[in-house]
Amino acid sequence: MNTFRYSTRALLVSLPFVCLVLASYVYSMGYTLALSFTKSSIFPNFSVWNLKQYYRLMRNAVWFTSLENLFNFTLLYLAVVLPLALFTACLLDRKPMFLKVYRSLLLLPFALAPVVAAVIWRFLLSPEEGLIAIYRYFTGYDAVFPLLSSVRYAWIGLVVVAVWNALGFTAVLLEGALKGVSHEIWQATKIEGIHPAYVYWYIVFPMIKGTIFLVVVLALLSCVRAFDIVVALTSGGPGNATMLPIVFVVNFISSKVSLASAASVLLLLITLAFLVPLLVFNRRGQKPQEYLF
Amino acid sequence: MKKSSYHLSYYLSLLLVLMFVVLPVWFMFMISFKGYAQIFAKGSFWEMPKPISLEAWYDALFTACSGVRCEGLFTSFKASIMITLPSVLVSVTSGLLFGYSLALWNMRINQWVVNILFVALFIPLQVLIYPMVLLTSSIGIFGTLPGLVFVHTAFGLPFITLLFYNYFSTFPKEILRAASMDGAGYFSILWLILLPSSLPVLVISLILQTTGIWNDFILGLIFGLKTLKPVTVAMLNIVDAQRGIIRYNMNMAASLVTASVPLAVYFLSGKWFARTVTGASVKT
Repeated sequence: MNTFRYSTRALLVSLPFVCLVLASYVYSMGYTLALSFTKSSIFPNFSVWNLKQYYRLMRNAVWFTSLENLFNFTLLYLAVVLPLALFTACLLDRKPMFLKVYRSLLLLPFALAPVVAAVIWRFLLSPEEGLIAIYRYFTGYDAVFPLLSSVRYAWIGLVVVAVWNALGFTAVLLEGALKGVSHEIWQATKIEGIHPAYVYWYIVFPMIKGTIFLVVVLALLSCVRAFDIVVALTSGGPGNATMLPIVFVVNFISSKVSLASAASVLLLLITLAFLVPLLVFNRRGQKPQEYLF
Repeated sequence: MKKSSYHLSYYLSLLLVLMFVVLPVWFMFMISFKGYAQIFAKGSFWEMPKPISLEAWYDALFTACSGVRCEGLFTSFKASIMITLPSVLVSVTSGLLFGYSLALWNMRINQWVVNILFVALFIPLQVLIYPMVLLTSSIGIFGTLPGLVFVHTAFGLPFITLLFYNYFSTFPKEILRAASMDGAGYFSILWLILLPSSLPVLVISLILQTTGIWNDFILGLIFGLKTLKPVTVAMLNIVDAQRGIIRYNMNMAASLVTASVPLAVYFLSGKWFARTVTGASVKT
């Protein structure tokens, strides 16, 4: 009898939040899906229903460039950040002096807004002033290198900033997993005289492959959502050299919302494709919830 | 294996990684204190500021132009504070209550809601913006402070709720059952038993929401209109508005103004900041 009363109270408290989630996620996604079948431009207009926006998207060169950029960006980002973060995590795991100081310092970029990170790096990657000035100072060449305004190399700048922003965070996350590895393994391999590098590569990394997998999937999802950093660093340019699907969506949202919605739906499908492995991973070994009442 | 050479290369690689991470922030800090004379003299940018000048800081705060208006970042700094405080309070309280209800009280829809929240966690919110603009303007709060608090709460809810949900799910049930035997109800269990022992997760969620909402860009850009522009948006406008000679010292001072609150949280929270990483792993 008690149980019934208490659960009602929980339900009453939760009801506004359930409504909020339904409105801001479920309803919004349904609305976006519906819009993608119409020909709305600035205001919603549900007079015509067809697949024309998807057809237009398929013939839109900028959209394909953005997909291609997303693929390249994600690949290079992962290829840089994962080994570097694993390496840094191992360095921390060897328990250097002042470990806590290092860990805090590594997390410094994690506190900063992506916009701030982008502005710092716009200086460091500027044609004459930043890192190129160091190069000039040591070699004496009068070199100018407009990395961020070069169609060919701008996305490398994007990767550098993304790596800088996420490196410490990823490393500390991986270090947490390394700490969980049993101490006995280290004692045994020390007695055998095996170099720590081999122990990491052949024994410890396979033991934490669950966390590594998690880090990879989260990095993939964060690449799909990388918006602030692109807008602040290059705003998709020069040309469309660093255009990403999410920037494409926001660019069209105020002028041709049906096209933006069609792009949104495709973007959601990409997100879901990355999300499925995570859902499966999350389900594994999950016990059914045991409630209080 | 020689111990000393191993140690040398070990600390050297650690130093390199730390330099890559910390030096850009150091340069930002240092350049912001240079005067215009030193910036335009085209010296090396890694030189120390001499004399230490607050010109750039003054300009960034009070005179920098974005478009036609030249009023610096001070107004939008205040706007950011006005947005962040209520948004953090409302979103953390909501997540606390919702996570608590979902974790411990069987409402028959718990698992469904948790699954929706987990998927919602990863949806890029840019694709939900247009319907949310329509929704907030239909209830008349678009472009107002309540509207911004509303969207920050809505888009922060999955994360904060799941954070509390995971924490409360692992709480020993025997204690809670014993408490309810003694007559504790829905709110007294939360207030008297769970909250005093959930300080860590509370601090973590406060840190993450404060930095997250302060650092937000897209929601402030769209839902803030002109009067409630947060400092991130105003800073980027100021940086982008410059043509010709770029005043890097002012840009860096403007970034530091923008980063000041998260940096304060970072330095004041100390060891707590490193603990937020596991909690935030799903968020970035």
